[in-house]
Amino acid sequence: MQDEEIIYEDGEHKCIIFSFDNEENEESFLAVNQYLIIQNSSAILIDPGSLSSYDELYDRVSKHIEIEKLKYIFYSHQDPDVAGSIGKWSVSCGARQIVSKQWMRFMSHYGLMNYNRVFPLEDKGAKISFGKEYLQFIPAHFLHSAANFSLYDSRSKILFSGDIGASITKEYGANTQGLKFEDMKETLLNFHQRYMAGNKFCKAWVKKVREHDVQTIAPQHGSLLSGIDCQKFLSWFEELECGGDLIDRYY
Amino acid sequence: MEEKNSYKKLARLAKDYELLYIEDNAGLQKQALKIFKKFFTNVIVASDGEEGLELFKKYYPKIVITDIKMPDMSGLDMASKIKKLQNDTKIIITSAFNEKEYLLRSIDIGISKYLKKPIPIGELVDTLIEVITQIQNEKNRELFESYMKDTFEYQDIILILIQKDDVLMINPKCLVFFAQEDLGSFKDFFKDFSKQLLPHDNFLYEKEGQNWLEVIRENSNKLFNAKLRDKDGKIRHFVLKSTKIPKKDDYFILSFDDITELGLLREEDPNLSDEEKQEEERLKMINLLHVLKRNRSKIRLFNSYKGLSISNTASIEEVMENQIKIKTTYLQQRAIHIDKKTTIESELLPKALECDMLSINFETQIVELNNFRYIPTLPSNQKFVRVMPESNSIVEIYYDAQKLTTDLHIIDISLEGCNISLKSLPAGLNIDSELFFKLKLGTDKSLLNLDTKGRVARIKELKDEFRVVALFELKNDQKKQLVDYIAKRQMALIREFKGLQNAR
Repeated sequence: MQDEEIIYEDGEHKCIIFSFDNEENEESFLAVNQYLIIQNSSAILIDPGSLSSYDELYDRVSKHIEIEKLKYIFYSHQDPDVAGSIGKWSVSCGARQIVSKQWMRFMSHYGLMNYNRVFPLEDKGAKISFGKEYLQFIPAHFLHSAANFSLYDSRSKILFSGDIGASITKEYGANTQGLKFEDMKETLLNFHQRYMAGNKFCKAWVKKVREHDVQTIAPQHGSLLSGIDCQKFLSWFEELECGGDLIDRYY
Repeated sequence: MEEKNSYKKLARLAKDYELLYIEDNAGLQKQALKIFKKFFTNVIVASDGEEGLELFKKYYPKIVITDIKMPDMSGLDMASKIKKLQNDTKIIITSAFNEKEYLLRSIDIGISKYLKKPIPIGELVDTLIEVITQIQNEKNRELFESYMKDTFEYQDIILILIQKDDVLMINPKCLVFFAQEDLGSFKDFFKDFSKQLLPHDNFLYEKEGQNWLEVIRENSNKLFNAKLRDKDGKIRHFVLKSTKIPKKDDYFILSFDDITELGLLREEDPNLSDEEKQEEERLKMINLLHVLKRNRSKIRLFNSYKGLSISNTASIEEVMENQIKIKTTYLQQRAIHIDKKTTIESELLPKALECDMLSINFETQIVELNNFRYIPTLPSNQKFVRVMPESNSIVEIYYDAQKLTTDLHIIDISLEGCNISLKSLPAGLNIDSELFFKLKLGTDKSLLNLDTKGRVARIKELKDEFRVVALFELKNDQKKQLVDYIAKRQMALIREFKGLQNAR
């Protein structure tokens, strides 16, 4: 089973997907994807995951870059499958931990009291430039987490979208590149209708995303969506009724 | 071509505004309406003054265009009533008459423009552009002034309100310093502003791959040093900051605080005595704290609890001759209370500034600090998390195959190495000497056995002990074990610290 793959490479810049941290579900496994962006000799790790995945991810990342060279670790939101390992990663290297300002007050519960090590994101997001390229933290609040961000990498044109675009499937991560949007629509629908807060947020997020030239959506669970499938997903998500729009289902 | 451009400009400007149009001549009304609808998303129409006033009360449009002579209420009577309701409404009068009486009354009421019928379309478009620009400028001025009051307490700062790359507003100090006539000429001047920022080590200026405006915008509230020439060609030293305006996308205030008088760029005078030098240092330090305060710049505080770094931001509330008052978080206050001191960092300070706690008030969140001294190390440079091991830890250190027999213990340990306290130093121990560590750290349940080589990186002699920093040479699995130990110890120390915090 392939659980690690380079999804972008141009000599100076590289994006890698790891997907081996499975969350057991009643009917299926929920695979968790972690991502690593390497630009020359520095790197950013995206949603490193739970405490249980720390050891394995540490080894995998070490194969690509010395852990000490991690410059940032980005946590899209505070769920344990995203941020459970903050404490251990904060000990392992000097990287700055990028999280929403809203989660700052909970950082000590994850084992972090040195806020100098934290890069708190304002609600509207932030941009980190490197040369002509940039990383843009795009607000994705209430999709599903109340303080949540997607990360756009202008070099690879990949949007690391956290739970947006996540599909619960037996196939996962790098193995599913090539899955078409239509094939995933049903699993996407179930997950997004239940987890996302409402169409108003979907629309606002898609509007922000469209300000950038996104060619691939890389979610935290399930398959990547590329090219036309990425565009189809954005159009579908923009119109999706979910969460509060379907309140009678839940109350 | 020019006409076409002004049409486009009006279309762009007018799309967010509502227009109230009052005209009793049905034919004229229909004709004009056709034109207005090309520019405004919403045009409200009335046929006399009375109806116009009612509609105004309902929609409160920012712009009103009205005829003068109408059956029930004249255009001027209506305009006067509208002005009383909402003084900043822009009213344009259209009239076939050019009578002096009408003109004088229009001035009294505060009419924005008086247009003579028949109105050439070009003139109408230009008038509308002028009026909308006026509305926007007033709005920007309001925003600028209200925000200025909240953000800066020092009138001598140069201030520029920008949206993306456009200058929207400036203060008089800005015009005077850059020898510009008005906002229009400053806008042109600002297009090439990067040339004004002179190169200097660690200062902000335009260089390859670095657009100064982008850098400052992306680092809202961070202070930058910059060097500019004044109109007489003299070099001035400024502190630059961009302040993001909340809830307004892409709006920033750029501030330039002239700190030339602090003499930070001046070479040290070799004729000064040591005492004079010290006094000058102290004055510079206090002045820098003043600059930080008047720019409402956040400082960072560093403390540690049993090796664990605790850091938060703080604001300077008051600067006195030999002490300052700062406001910080409760967590940091607790850490300062335990340490009885703290260390301040700011991009403006040349080094980290250590100071003692004079008093602390948990209710007002204020801490008074004094006895300032620069220290050689920056706490923010500390890369790895450090923790003090449990007191029952067993530490054996070997040098030259001999176990050290002096009293020793580990002050703190990190993934990189450890900081050891020794009563005496073994003969021959030097920087780069090889040590061997046999460590048993932690509780019975989670014991870390670590046998590893290390190398001496620093030796420091204190009053009655030595401090030795050694760097470990760890294997990969040992690294992971140590990460595990430090992460657990870190959590335990946080719990312990919070226990103390709750026990106050």
